[in-house]
Amino acid sequence: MINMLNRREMLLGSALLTTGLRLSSFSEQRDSKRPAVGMLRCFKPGEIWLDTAGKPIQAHGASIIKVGDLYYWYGENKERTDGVNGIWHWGVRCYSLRDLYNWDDVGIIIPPEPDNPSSPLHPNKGMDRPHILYHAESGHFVC
Amino acid sequence: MLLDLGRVGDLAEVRVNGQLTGTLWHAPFRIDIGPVVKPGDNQLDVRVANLWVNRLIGDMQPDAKKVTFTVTPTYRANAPLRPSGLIGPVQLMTVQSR
Repeated sequence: MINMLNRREMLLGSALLTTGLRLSSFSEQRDSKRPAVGMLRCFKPGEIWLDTAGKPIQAHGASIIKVGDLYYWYGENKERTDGVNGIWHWGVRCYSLRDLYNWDDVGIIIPPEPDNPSSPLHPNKGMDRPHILYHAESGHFVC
Repeated sequence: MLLDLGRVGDLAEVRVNGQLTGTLWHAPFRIDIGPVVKPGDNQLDVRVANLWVNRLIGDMQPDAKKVTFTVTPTYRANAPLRPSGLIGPVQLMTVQSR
């Protein structure tokens, strides 16, 4: 269990770090296409909310943490869940937001473990409403 | 031109001249309506939705006709109600353009 936790910590830490790096180059392409922050800021409750790449947001049972100037929004990835196939989750997906409206997908930060039926991260297990803390002393994100 | 709604419980849709301009869901409840206002009269439409907390508390009252369902108990009948609606103050502010 300790090994597993360490592994997950490292995965998280590296995923979020990579995100920060990737964002700086991404923002330039994005800003030319998007209205300036503060102009159009809408979402429609009851309709599907899309990320900045136009895909449905997959972060169910979500939580938000703020690190520096960026918000990170993460939750259960349900993209393979159809209510019949027994798949409860496909890992934890994370998005970064500067303005709490425009979601940049930064990928699956905790992957599922479909090959290990006894893993708590197996897609059929009830991994649900994940919570992540930032441990400032070690610089790790802990789930 | 900024529209500042002050306090909102809990989410507000702002329409200017019929056009959805912002869905405000966190403080500060403020939006730049400069690009959508026109000289002369404008129509401002603010629609507010609150969380279902007060409804849940209402449903716990002894004489309540329940409209909600939860799998586990949530709020007690005497829980404090949550400030809801457009609380304000609503202000229009102009900002100097550079």
